[in-house]
Amino acid sequence: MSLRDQIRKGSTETLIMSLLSEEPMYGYQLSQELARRSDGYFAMQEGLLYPTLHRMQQDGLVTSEWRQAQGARRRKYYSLTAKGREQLGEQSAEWETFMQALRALLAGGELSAGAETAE
Amino acid sequence: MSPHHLTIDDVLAQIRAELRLSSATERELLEEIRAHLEDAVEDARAAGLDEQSALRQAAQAVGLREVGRELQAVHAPWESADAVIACALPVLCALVLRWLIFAPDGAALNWAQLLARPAFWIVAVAALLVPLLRFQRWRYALAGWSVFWMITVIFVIFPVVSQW
Repeated sequence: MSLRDQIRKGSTETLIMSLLSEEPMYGYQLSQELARRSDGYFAMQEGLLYPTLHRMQQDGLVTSEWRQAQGARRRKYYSLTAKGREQLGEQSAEWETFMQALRALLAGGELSAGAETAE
Repeated sequence: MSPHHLTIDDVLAQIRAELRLSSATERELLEEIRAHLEDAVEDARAAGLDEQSALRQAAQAVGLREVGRELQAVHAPWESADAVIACALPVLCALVLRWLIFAPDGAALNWAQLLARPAFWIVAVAALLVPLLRFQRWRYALAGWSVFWMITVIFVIFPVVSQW
């Protein structure tokens, strides 16, 4: 598995929760937004988004409901739950710490005190 | 992919081939993938592809059998747990009613006594509604409720503990 695939796999849930924290979205919309906002970096096999979403629903991180706007097809919209928001906050902080540490290491410096205490 | 005229139903059939879930769950999963494919085809056609090329591209992006296998893996353990809980709950209700609430000393209990008690009906209705509302699978709920009544009938026909 390439480094990009490993990063993508480890961050998929965080990315999905981040998008859903803005507004409820359906699967196709999520896949398009993930690809668009990351300029294709986080484009994933679209079908695999659904097992991830369903697993997250079983874990109580998201809820879903079928909606049909006038003249549009019926779609299943996912929304972030309170538990999901909490988890998004924790994971975002963790990623922030990770990125700070990685940047510091790659630049040959040391981890700042703020990043150390964020954990 | 075969060169014949491909339809969304063909694509969904390949995903369905990997699923062994309840018909209600499969229907919902496939409806969601269908909406995804329709959106993807619409966008690809707007970008200039013909219908067949658009559908083949959408099908490839979704992943077909791989997504079917992943969905099966996500939902199968969940469904099994649902079935066990939905069936065990009414049995537990019947046992608690008989041995802990109505006649903990093991005394006989007849139909008239049993059916006259509001507590029996509250538990009987709960034994049907809880699995139905919690799991939204009416087959599990009805199967569990049938077991509840079977056990209740057995308790009334053989009311005395010494007969067990």
